[in-house]
Amino acid sequence: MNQGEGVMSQWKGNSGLSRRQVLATAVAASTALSAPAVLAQGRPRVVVVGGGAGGATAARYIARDSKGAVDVTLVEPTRAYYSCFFSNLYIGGFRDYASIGHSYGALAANHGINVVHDWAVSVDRDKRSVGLAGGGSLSYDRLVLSPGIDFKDGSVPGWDLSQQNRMPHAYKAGSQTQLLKAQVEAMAQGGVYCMVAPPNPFRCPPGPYERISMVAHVLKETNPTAKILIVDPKAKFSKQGLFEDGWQRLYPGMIERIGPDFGGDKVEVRPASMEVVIDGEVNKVDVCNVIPAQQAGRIAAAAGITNDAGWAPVVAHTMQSRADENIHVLGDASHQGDMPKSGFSANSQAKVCAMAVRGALTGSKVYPARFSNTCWSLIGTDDGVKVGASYEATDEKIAKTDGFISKTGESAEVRKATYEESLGWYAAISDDIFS
Amino acid sequence: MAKPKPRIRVPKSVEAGVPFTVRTRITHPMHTGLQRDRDGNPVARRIVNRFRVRYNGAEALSVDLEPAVSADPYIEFEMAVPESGLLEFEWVDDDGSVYSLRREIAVG
Repeated sequence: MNQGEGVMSQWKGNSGLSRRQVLATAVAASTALSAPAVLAQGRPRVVVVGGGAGGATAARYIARDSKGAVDVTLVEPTRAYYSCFFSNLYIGGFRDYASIGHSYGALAANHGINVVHDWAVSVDRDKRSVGLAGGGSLSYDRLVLSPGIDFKDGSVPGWDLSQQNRMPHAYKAGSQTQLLKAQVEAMAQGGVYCMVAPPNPFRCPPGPYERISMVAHVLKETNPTAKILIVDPKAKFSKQGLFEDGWQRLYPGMIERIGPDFGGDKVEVRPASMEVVIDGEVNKVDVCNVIPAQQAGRIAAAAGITNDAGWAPVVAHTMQSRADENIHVLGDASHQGDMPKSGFSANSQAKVCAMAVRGALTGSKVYPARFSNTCWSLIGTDDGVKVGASYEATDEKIAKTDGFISKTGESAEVRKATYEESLGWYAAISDDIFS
Repeated sequence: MAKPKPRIRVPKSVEAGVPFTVRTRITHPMHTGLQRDRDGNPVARRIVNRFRVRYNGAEALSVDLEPAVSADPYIEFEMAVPESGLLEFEWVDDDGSVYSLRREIAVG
């Protein structure tokens, strides 16, 4: 079990205790009771797959609030997490790249979480163990899956992952986001930026349209004769009135959206020639941002807990999979009801999940589930808008109880305050996930 | 201003005499002549003032547009045709430009 040793060597307990010290103490105590075999079962094990807003929050809250009573392992392939939320602001030049990056160091150091940088590739639900690409496996009492999204093969004819450097998706933040930003900045004067928008449901419903706003903001300054073409299979989209009002005010004549009424649902791309074919009409473009149709991250399907649409149905009260009560699913990957797929939602669901997991494993008190979400979007400098809601758990789903949305015609002061609120939120949620 | 870009949606094949939907849209700012720019200077009127459709050379539709029509004018209508032929679309700009598109329709 080299993998296991690797995991243990990263473990640092609260108060600076190493795992070895904790084990030594525990072994001494159990030896006194002459029941060393109980030890392995005495400390319940939670494995969390996915170190984003859902998984990292769940790992942190379970480890922190159980005060070492639960052994928590977080499996995440990347060593630095670049948040999808606010990555559009990086494209727009409102954030630098480092400011959307987060390390897992604090989760290990402050909360004793075993952070394993590997891919989880299989789940043996009978043996309750997770297989890793590196060859090891991790056994669990409860498994939390928060793998985010993967793309559906073939959803945009002509595009697959091998084309992602020519036609970036930039819908998992990181090098893809850097690439798209560089392509926008390198566009020829008067060139065309095209986005192939995804069908519902998908990660961050306003995300593609905030991105359009940020690209327009950049082009207005550096390339004012450039055009933006959105090819969209959806008749409507999130915060549509707010975005279209903003585009008209700030970027008049630059943005054209082709919905299904003009063939936006019949699109094919040709990466080699940089062409986008819209229901037979060939459009030559300079940058093509393809955001394909989405489904739960692959480990959810590998675990056998997804529905026909590719998402994992869950019980709203606890975020437990409807197919396996030992597995919880969070965030984008879950099929839960009314909440949008967002970092805020995942973070909110993770706290409900953490409470349920601790309740099941340590007998701690469990309160009725409450959820909340807000999606902020930036349309231009100091021009922020938001949509949000509160939710409760019913037996069928996570159900919306009340909501709010920005209005068109708001004053510049209100829009600036909304943007500044989003900055505060980003700082706070980053701490809530990673500190 | 970027060059206006017209788009149309027409079925490729239709049945003789059975109405079908035609959708058209052109990207255009439709400046009313009443607005001012950021520096307070008047923005000259510039609109698409006429939209025309011909089928096999005969006028099928003619529309006069006024300054109250919003940006990117969208015009949808129904028509029926007796035989295969050519649909021609024209948008006439205040500045004299004419933007046109054409589409073959097969009856059968």
